[in-house]
Amino acid sequence: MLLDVQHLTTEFRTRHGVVQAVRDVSFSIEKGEILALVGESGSGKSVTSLSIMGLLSSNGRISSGRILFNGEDLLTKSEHALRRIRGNNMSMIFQEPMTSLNPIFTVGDQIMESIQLHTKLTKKQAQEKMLHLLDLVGIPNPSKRVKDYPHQLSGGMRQRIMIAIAMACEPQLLIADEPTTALDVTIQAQILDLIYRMREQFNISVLLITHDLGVVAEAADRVAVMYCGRIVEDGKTADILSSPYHPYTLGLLKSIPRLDDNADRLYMIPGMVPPPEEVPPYCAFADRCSRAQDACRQGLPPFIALKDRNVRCLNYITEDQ
Amino acid sequence: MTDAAMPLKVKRSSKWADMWASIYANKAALCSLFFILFLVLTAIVTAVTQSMGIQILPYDPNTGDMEQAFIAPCAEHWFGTDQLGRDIFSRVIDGTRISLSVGAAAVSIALITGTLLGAVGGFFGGRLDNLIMRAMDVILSVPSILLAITFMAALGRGLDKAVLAIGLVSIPEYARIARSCVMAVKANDYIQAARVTGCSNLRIILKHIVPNITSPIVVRATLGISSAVLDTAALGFLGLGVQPPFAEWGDMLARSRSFIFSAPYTLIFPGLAITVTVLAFNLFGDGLRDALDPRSRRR
Repeated sequence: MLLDVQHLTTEFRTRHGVVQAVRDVSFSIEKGEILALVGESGSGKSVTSLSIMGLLSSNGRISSGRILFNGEDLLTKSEHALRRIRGNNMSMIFQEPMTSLNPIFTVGDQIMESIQLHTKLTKKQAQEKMLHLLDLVGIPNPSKRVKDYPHQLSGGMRQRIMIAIAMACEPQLLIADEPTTALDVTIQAQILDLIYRMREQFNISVLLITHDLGVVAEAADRVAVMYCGRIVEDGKTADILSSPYHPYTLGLLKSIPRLDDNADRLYMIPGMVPPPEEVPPYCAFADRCSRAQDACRQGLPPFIALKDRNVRCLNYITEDQ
Repeated sequence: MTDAAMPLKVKRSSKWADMWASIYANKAALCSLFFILFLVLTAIVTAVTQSMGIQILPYDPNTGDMEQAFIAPCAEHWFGTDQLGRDIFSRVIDGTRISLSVGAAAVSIALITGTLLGAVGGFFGGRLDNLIMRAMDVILSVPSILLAITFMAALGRGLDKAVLAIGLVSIPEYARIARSCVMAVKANDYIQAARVTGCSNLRIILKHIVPNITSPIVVRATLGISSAVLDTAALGFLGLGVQPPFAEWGDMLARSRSFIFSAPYTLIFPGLAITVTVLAFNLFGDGLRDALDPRSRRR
């Protein structure tokens, strides 16, 4: 097991008092596995990834839980040790490739920086490695492209450069925070394919953060669905997409527009996601759920372990329904 | 020329060559650069020849002949002579050295200290930021020339101390600009991305943030050179900066102010020297700003 997050709770100090963005989240990623963390905006998926990287903003803190990386608890490590792990052992790519590259340096400079920060290669060796990386991520004519500035490249190219920077030190874990959201649909598929190939080639693990179930279906081995800071269901991608147990997961799947469906209106989950400071002390989805019973509002449902998945619902959907 | 006839292979060059190409394309900046280089050369030549005892200027800039006072510009005295009969042309040329080094030194002090303080404050925020910015407010709350005089009262008189004092009082301007720019740049994803690759805070500030905030600071600095020259003149006028008989543009200007109607040339030429120099620095600063930012580079 490469990454094992246990009972992670992350909270922020805000004007409304302390708000929990991530509540008692546990999941793990094996070596070479792609886990997708799915949820709407504000469900806590990005905060989860920042907690793992140790990059929470100054008003955020991890109030409980453990994050084991290769068996070592990251939360007990010094900032210095964490800095060595970042880039070396874990890397991250972001949603917006337009802004995640420094506009005043050539892309070559930025890849070189990442290589030279973490390896003791000579300049020449580092350059060779850079060209090799660019070739690997599918940048045509790399020796020319390295002299380009970010604004001279397309979004898809920039995301490839970001992946090259992230892969520069052969990390064990790649966190991809909505890596395809800002890209064209055709480019999305290429980038997902690239992430997939990186996994095959280097046996890295990927934490894929997305709100797009299409992305999940295409790339992930396992899925964890988050709602209001909690994981409500997790299991193998094929199982969850074909037969969701949690009513929220079902709602998400039904919200995907379909071409072969002649419905006049798109399906919408009724109600709204409660703001983080108003999440009820019982099942957070109960107030929007058609299957809710009185028991759902009595207390927090336990995380029920079934044979192929875990689900946090008292009245979960069974296969025969 | 059609597209097909265009050369397919674009010549690619290093970052420095790109920057040079951008300045080269901007003729005003290019001329300014040459003028600045010319001033620097003048300063070096006058300094070297004076230390070797060779006189290359038409007259000794520091000794006058009272019988030759207030001669209007003519063939012997191109820029005329001042109230003490000193040749103004020689004094303007000789003054290049002091004025230029005063401007450059004072601005460097303010620029480096101010930018770093502002960048640190803006980057870390919180208590440290408060501490730095309130200290800057204290400096700003006192008129700068008064504060410079106060500094000099503590440091003692002399040109070097005047430069230091002027540098110190203009730190807040740079700190404020740097701070606000850093706060804007800090929010960008590429700063987070730099953290992700394992950059230390110092490295992020120096390598990723400072280069992104150079444009406004460079522009401010080129303007700052002119005010530094004038401030030095003011201090000199109060007997705290450059001491007579040495020539310094601002000082020449200040000392001839009572002859503005009777002998305007005593003011015009040192004033012109300041104006043209300041203009050159401004135009060059403009070109440099464009050259520093790859997105606005001229091609």
